[in-house]
Amino acid sequence: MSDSLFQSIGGEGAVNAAVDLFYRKVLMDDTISHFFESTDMDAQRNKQKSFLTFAFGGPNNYSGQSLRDAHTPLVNNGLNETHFMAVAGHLQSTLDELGVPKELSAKVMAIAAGTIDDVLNR
Amino acid sequence: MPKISFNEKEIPFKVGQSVLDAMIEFDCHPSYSCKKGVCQTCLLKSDDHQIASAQKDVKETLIAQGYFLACQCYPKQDIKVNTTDNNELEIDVKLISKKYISSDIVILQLSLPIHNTLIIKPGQFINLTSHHLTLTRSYSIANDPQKDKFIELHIQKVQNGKMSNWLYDNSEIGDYLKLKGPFGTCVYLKSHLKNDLILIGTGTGLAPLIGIIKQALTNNHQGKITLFHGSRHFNGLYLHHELKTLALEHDNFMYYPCLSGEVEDKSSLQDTNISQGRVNKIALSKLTQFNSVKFYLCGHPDMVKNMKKMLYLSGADLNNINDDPFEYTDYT
Repeated sequence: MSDSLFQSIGGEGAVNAAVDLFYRKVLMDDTISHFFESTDMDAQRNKQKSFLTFAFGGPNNYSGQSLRDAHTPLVNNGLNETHFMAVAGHLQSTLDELGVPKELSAKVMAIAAGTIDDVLNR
Repeated sequence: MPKISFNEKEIPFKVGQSVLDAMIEFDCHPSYSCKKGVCQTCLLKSDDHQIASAQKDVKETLIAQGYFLACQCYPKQDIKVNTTDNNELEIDVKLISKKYISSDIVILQLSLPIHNTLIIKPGQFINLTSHHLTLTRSYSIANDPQKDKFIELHIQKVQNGKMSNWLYDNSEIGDYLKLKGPFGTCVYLKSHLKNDLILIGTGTGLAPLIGIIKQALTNNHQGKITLFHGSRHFNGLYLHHELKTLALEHDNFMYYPCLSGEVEDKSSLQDTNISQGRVNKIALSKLTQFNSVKFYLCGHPDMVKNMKKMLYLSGADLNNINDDPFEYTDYT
């Protein structure tokens, strides 16, 4: 966890600004939206907030194991690296739209990329 | 040391400790996940003022019912909290009126006990148990029970639905039923007086919506109130004439009936301004404003889910969308 990244990016306010942009992009992407069809949207949005807080270097309780367990049913349904990259692309464009400077967004993307093995249960 | 009263239990806590941490320490097995006030897994209920700082980002309709985040609540004095699912009371209610509306819809009225302490708001739902069938099913409240002193339910017969068929065909005036609840967040808030309200329902999804509409009108609601009611056949627009009259009486109430099935008698369309097509499509085509509108979606689960997603993608805030999908499982 790096508090300085979280501070520089704008803390909780940045998470709130990003969450709807990000979640709408994910829902509108037909190549991945089916993974979200049966989920409760309010709960899912809260999970996106937890994830963004984590990726922005903020305080979180993310553990590799919980990420792993949460994605096991999706992996069983065919979740693969292409889908992971699609979500990562939406995160990048969200950061770009919000005008997050390149050096900060690179750090965010690196934190997000670090979850790939857990998310894909490898 | 101050105490937390949790359901029937009392547990001590240290000032500076969250309600959630105290509950974990004393093996109360609370549900939780992030402990950072984000995931909302640890929602509990209380009427104590000490919860105010633990309601950030909690849906307004939940706040109105005393919901708060246990992980963000740091009380200084004794506090009484409840879990959100088993603190509701069970009471006996008596069937006092049965009015047949169509070949598959009946409106029931149930009397409340004289010393009723339940606060049931229009738009919420209750679980009803019949001793005859030993079955429990959920039904929405279509009126304001605090004002009327009775509960009104709109029951639609479901194919193979044991409870709905029994209520329609066999229940008798004077029968007692057990009621548990209330549940649900589809409620009208007085603080929304100036907001536009958009209500979309299919079938007896109209029941909670009409409850909310009547409460809003009684409250002299100042924003616009727009109702879209969808049904396959004309018979399913079961409050058509009442709603038309209501729309004539109130300048700020608009009623859009929608029929998705074959229309046998085309002349009825011109006469009554009924739109043809699915209610979610028609509603979306007519909506232009998504900010600061309060949405209420009730009825068929597919309609509710699709509409919620489309509204969110159109720019509506999820916190402004209240939904009640009428989930149904065929147990035959």
